[in-house]
Amino acid sequence: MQELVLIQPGSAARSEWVREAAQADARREFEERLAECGSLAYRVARGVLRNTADAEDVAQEALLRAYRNFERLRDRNRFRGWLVRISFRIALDRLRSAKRREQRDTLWSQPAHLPPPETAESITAANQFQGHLERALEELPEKLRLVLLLSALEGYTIEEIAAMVGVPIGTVKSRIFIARKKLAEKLRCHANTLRTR
Amino acid sequence: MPCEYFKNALVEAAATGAAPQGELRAHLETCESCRAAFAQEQSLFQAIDSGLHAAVNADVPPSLLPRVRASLDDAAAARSRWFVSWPVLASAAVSVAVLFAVVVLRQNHIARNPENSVVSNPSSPLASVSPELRDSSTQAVPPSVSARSHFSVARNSTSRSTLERHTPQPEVLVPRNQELLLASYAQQWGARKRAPLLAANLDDTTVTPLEVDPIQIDQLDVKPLVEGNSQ
Repeated sequence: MQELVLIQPGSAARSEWVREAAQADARREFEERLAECGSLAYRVARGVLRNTADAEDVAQEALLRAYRNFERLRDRNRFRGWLVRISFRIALDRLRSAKRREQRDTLWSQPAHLPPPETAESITAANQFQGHLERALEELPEKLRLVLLLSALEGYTIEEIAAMVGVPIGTVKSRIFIARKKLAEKLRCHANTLRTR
Repeated sequence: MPCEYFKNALVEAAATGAAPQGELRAHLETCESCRAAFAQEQSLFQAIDSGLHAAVNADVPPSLLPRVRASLDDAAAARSRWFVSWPVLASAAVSVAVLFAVVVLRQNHIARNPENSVVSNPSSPLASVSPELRDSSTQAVPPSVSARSHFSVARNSTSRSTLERHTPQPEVLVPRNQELLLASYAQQWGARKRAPLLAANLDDTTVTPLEVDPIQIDQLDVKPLVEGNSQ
């Protein structure tokens, strides 16, 4: 059943009412995007921070910031890319603050879909490699890191990533290629740890 | 160690993830060290991709969306609190300013006419009236009339404000999604509805003076009063 409301279009409190209605409208529109884009913000943040609690905080902050500025976003189709950039920026700021570094959760470093290590030595080797990967990621330039993280996300094509970041598809491809090569250069000296896995 | 000539090609092929083609493919079939180096590069890139994939595609904690919604509610409530509170604060500030001005003016008035301050009685309704008015009202007008006039002024002002407050406004039932649409329509209508009518009136009508027939008055027959009827 459709919900009806009784209004007075000509009343003196119209401006306030219009403001409240606009807020409610924006809130409804934002809620529609929240379910999909909330996870995106969280995953981008987690890709940078690799910590569940911090990523949740960053995602919440990014979504709140996006909500506060939602009315300023003229092209609502660019919401995803806008939110990704906000999340990425906040996550980088969070990462740079030294306070949180010691509280990081290291559980992330056990990839779920890799074959589980069988021995204590292989566990150690896997953790070591992930630690090296973490440091190598942090040393990547921001534009390369963002594209690489987005490319690792499930469910997003190169075209969607290009739309989110706002660069051509060819640029996205070349950035992914360069980022992976840079990571490989940094991690090649630790490749012997992989042999033990 | 891989052959120096194919070293970069091996890395590039492993980085792209595509199967080696052409000259490199032929070389890998014959060179065992390059094949081993190529396999190592492939496993390195696979490990990188796996680490990234695991880091990024973690399950979203179920507490995230409720937390976000709660913070959105807080933000909306804070915003509406601000919108509600600033008119209250502004009106309170204006009231304090007006009260202050009245007190200052009254002090100045008392300082200029100290004899009146002795006479004036704060409990009297005429205390705040200027002396000229007070004198004239106490002398010429009986107290009952004076009080009545005060009462009638107050009643008139009250009824006027009450009327203004209760001016009937049209109320409309609309679906919840269309409140904003109707409000903006009403706003536009209120802003525009008079302008076209005025313009049309100016174009179509010619201003002509009203023609009124001269008033016909019968000749008056004035007769002198008969003596004795004048009483």
